[in-house]
Amino acid sequence: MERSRFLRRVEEAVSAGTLPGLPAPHPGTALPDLAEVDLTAHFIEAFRLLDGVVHHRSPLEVVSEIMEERGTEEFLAWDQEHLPADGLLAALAESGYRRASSCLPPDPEGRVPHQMGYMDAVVGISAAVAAFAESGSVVVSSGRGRSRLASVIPAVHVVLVPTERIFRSLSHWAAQTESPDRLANLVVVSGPSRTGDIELTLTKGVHGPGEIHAVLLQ
Amino acid sequence: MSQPVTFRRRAVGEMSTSKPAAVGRAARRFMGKRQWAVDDFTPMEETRDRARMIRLHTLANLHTYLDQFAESVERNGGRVLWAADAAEANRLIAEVVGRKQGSLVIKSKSMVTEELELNAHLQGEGHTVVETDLGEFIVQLAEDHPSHIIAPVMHLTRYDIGDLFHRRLEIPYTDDPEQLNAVARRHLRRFFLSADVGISGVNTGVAETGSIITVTNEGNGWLTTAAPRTHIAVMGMERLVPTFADAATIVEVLARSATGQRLSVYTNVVSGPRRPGDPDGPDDFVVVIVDNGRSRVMASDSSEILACIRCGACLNVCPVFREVGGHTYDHVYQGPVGAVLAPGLADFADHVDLPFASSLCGACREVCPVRIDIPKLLVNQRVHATRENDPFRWMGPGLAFYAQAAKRPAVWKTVLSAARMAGRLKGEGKWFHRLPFHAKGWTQSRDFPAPAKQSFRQWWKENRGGT
Repeated sequence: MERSRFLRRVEEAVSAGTLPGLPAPHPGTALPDLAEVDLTAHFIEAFRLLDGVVHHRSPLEVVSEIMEERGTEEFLAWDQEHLPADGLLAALAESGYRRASSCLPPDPEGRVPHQMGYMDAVVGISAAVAAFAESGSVVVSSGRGRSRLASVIPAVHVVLVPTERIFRSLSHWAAQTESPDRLANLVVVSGPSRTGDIELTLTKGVHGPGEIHAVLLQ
Repeated sequence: MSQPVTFRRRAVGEMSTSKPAAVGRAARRFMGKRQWAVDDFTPMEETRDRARMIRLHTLANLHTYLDQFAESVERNGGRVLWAADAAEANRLIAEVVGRKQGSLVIKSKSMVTEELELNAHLQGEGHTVVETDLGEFIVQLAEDHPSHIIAPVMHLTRYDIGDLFHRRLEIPYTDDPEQLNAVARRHLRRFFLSADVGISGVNTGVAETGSIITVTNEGNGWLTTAAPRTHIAVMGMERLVPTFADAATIVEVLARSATGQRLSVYTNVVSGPRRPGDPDGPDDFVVVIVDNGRSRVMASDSSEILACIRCGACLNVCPVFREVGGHTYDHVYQGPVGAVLAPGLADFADHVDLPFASSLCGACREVCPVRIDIPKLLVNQRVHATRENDPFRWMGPGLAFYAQAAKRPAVWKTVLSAARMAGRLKGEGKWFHRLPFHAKGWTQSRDFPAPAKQSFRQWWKENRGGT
């Protein structure tokens, strides 16, 4: 249907209808006034509650340990300039770990063969553009040098979280962040992938990572 | 008089299986988890009020926000298509998918595409469609229908699912949820990575930014929108809010109300196709905005139901839903919200009996995160149903017969002793499922107790009569 006709039909329906509370004002943007809390401490508690693992050690140490434990030498990652840990990728390369390319080839036909290379990806490294104390969430994004699949495909997601990026809640961040359409994709990640579809029994890692590690950076 | 029997027949059929017991168990466990901690950062009552105001404000200005949303999507490099009904939506989606025959389409859970019966349409055009939400995947393997908005296979046990995977995926039988989960992960992974098109629903669109937001716990929603070359988002026209901050309130309320989480595991915000320099993501982003009866609902006295955010809480608390399960409603939207929405969205006559499948106890109104007055809307729908085709026509003659009998002691006694004879055959404390003649209507949706062996008058005569 043509856009203008569609919209006219909607407008007519709204005026014929019986919505309660008209003229239905917008509630505004003020958020409830709440007591100050220690954001980092709350983030750690909430992240752990979701079965996330919190680290206070160096990202290099944490990643190496996980790679060794999982017996893998390859990982997916954002470009170094978007990781708030200087020299991490170079140090990993020095230790003999390989970074798989996470950039699609220019030829559209090359997409599927390229992506099929991720079938058995084990470790992905990215960084939080924001984090939320209330829900133990981290926000990852798309953008230059920031692969989406690096955060969602691997079995283990390692996310670097600078503590100054911890906000109170999604609502508090949304009220003050730049418009989200600056980037094509933002994902608020709250814990490992999980499902309760089979008899409501919680199982982890159904499609996204079954393990998530937050490396806190002061 | 055929309509009320339809729901009843389906209910009787469903209740003779093991499904309702599984649904009841699952619904109760859902409610157990749905706690809104008092020490939470997000105060419950204020946030519900806020969410309700956002939804009602959006609906009252829906055409303006839809217009703004479309402009924002286009500004971000996406396309918007407008579908008046299911047929048009399916045709438009098939056109986007079908540049080449035999495309592989992956889907993340979407109620509106269930409503459109999109899978069947795309398969009819020669495409392969794979559902990726674990529950929906199981439903698809079983060639079944979802039985709950949030938990599509609430009606199946892990033994059913183990057996299904064994038969359809040719793996050794297991009923361990962890292992079944691992099988599904491996099986679906190659579809994610090699699909041509990803189709998602939309939990909420954002007018100001042209973003669509999907929430999932499994990660399939994210993969569906990140890996394939084309992403099609199918959105019911009412699923919109003005700003990103409003959307934040809605997803916070949705997660708490649906499953007791503070946020779903993945709250995925997509604003257009991949940008220059993005290493991955879709090249094409298309939003299909679907009316399919929504403007009819909007123009009716049930407009308020369009404020629904599809959390499923009203299903879980509904005593009728718990007993009969989702399939009895015979529509994608079930339980209290479905009983209002289904007759409005689809052909009214096909679902006219749903508004009667409620005791009007009000639990749905209590639990609704946006405080929709569902019982009031159910009563409105009942009024329409009664005007079109009165399911209670029996009541007039039935009451007239009662009045005649009650006025004539001799007739009254005869009827009662006949009933007592029948009751003796049935057994005291048992129930009649079917009464004859004018009383027939009563037992079409309820049972009637068999009379006691002795009437009160007889009992009085024997035990107290002498004093």
